[in-house]
Amino acid sequence: MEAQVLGISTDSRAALQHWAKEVLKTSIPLLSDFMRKVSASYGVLNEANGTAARTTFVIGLDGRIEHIEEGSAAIDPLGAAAACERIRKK
Amino acid sequence: MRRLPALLLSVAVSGMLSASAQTPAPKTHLKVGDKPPDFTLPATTGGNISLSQYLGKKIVVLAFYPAAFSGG
Repeated sequence: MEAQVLGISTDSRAALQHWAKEVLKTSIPLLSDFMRKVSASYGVLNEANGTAARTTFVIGLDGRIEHIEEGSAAIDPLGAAAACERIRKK
Repeated sequence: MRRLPALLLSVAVSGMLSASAQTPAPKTHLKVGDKPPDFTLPATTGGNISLSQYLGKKIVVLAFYPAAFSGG
């Protein structure tokens, strides 16, 4: 089973569309949290500059958070990938 | 030359990020086992995407990141 990856930042959708198409060349949906409400509800909003702190949440098929990576650890996708593998084996 | 605007923006964003490095990054209050807050946001793929449309059907990897043009 494939995992659905969703990227979230506080950029505008127009900026994200340019980035996704011209730079990343990715088809992964990038979501625009321009109002900062979602970043705040996840507790990752950096109030000082209005951006989201780099954080990865893996959500299992039971609809609950299975794994969290924060800070520099969240740059490396291996932790999230290992969490996905654990869920698949459940 | 097409890359120049992206380069300039990336320099600007790096400046913002190094400024933000002076304040500690916030840590989420959410814990493993918690239900993630639902949301509906505009997506680059067109229209809106809600977390709830995937819950229970797919594993979801939610990746928050500081700004476009930043690594990771």
